[in-house]
Amino acid sequence: MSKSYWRSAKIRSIGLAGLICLALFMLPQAVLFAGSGSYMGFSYALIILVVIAPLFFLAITLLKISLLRRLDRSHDIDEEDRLQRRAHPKIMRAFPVDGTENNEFHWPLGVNPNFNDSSSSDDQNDPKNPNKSPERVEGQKQ
Amino acid sequence: MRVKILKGFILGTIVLLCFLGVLERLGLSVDLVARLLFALVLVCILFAGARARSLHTLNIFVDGYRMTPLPNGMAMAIIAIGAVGYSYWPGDVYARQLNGLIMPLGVIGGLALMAALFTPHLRREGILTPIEFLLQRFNSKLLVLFVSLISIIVVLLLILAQISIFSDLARRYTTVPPESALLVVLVATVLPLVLGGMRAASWLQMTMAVLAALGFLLPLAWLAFDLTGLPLPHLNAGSALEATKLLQEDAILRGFATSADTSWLEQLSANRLSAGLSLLGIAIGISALPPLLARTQTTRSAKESDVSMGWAIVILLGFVVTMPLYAVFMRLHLTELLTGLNVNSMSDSAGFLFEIKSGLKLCGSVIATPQDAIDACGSGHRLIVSDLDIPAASFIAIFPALAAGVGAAMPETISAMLACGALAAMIAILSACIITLAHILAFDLYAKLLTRSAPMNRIVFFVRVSVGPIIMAIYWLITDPLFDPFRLPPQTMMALALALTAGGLFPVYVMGFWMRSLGWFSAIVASLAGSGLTLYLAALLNGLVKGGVLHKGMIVLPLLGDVLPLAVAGLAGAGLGLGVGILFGVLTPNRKPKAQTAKEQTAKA
Repeated sequence: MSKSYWRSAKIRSIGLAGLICLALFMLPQAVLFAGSGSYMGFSYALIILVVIAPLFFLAITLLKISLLRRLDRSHDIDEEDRLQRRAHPKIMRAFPVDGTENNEFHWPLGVNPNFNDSSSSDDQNDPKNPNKSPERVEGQKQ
Repeated sequence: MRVKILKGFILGTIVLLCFLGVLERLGLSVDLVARLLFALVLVCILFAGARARSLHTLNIFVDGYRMTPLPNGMAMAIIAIGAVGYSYWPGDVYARQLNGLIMPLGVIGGLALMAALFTPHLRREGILTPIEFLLQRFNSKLLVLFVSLISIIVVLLLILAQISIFSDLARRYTTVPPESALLVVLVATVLPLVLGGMRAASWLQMTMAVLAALGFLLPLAWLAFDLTGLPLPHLNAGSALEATKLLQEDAILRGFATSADTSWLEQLSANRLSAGLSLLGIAIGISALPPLLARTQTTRSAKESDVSMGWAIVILLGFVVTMPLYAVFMRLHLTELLTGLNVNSMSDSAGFLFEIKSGLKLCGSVIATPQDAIDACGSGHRLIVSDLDIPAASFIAIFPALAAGVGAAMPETISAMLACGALAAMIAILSACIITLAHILAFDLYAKLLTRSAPMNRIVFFVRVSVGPIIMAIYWLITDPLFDPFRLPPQTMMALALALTAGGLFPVYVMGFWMRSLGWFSAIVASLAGSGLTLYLAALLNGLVKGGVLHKGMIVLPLLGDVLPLAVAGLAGAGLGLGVGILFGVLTPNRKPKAQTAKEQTAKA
């Protein structure tokens, strides 16, 4: 992960947070500017506060999810296993040509980074951690 | 899997409600209906406990990192709303009109802010509690101790605020003393947590979110159906508002009202600057709230953590869109009922107002009997709707009573469902707060501060055992008369919790995630400065400290009510904390990263 790459993600995240703060602060101003008209019986102020403002915050959250998927380092953890396999060809032994996954050849050896069995996720006896622990991620980085 | 179970649960609850409604029409007593609904909540709790029992460490702390986005979003939304939001916010919109929307909007903005600043980054760390992240990042036991103490105070304030609505519910719907009912609810909430930790809390919050949503929607749907034949209140609310306006214009023509009474729910009456600052303060408080931060950890990946925030905002959007409709329909029916009514004959047609006994004001005075009303307004006074002030806390009592006397009387099953939803919201947020407290005590304080070598099974044991003393402490705080002088209204306690979070926790998390060059000392100074200023302003606003600075100052006193100034106090605390922290960081640069770099270089060599 290059420094400029991470910096770009950081700037965008903080920028979006700043936009949210600005929107919150300016919301009463927007209500005042909306005037005293009404639409279908509801005043403009009510429509702004109840519909438009929450939709705006939802849109920013969705924008953040989609915009930062490529840039934000936090999302890359999901991609990290794939990148690791690409960087270390021997890990590909975990996925032979016939498509049967071999847990023994995952990197680090014996740890399956893709284990994410949602169908049995409610089995209380399942001791597996389907995601990454910090130790394992560190191991992969090594 | 969970979504399938939730679908079945929703369907089963609706079928049960229809069944109860039919039984009520056939003569089943109201008391029995209320008991059956209470039993429904208890069955949900037992189901959660049975379903979630586990000994696995990850299940106890983060639900095994298995939550899918939609259920996680539901759980986050019900924690963010809580029992206070469920029971007070609609009444707040009625009482303070558009100013009552500031708190819910601040909550939505806070979730968006949390998604932008903290959520995926915290989940990426793969830690068990948010405070563990601070320990990893700053490597300071002192900071962890300080942040843990602030988190404990915040969570206790949240719990006390939520529970204080319970006595009203218990008095109206049961004959059991409120203290005993509270003890039953606390024990029932804690039982699944002992069995399954965070996993049980997830199941509890999901099922309770469904009950709360049904309880919130059904009464409105019934009223809309009664008025227009369509159970879609959102489509009818516009015409209800116009009908209210017409009734009030008619009252003006008849000489009862003035033109000022016709404008309702049209403009913010708050000072714009103060309303904006309050929104910001509430949002900052919500963005670092410990139970919500803990909930962001339970998803399967950082990306799903983000998506669950999106779902939480969608659910809150639905709540905020629906919430003012209660105020609209209440206003319509009260206008119909009261306009032109002689105060001497109030006990005949509006007698239910005297039965509620929850601080209603008529003509500016609190009324409890018909004679009080005559004394307050004068004999023969013709009433208008604005003569009656309904405090936000009375909404949960007054709405069912009002709806029972309108058109085809609302079945008690449906009106009791509103109270059942409030109880469900309370149990959901209680479970989140209690498990967060247990994690802080057993993991952050015991395992990370006192002993670094505790085996995981012992820590899990402590988490399960610590919930017992926690509920005993809560019960003691609620019932002991010793604490009566310190008790604040629920909304004020909520605002104080949010302000303390904004002042004491927000700067530390921001510095932890976004200012990697700053060290633990800056973080402690930031948290101390932020929480200190917030507490000072809070004490000043509640009259505990004498001081004239803010009375002559710009931002605090022109605000509304008693809730929002605290939000601004939190904002001021967050600003000061961040500023002081950055200043200390610049003056005393952190040397640890350099040492680590040298170590790494040696290792590489």
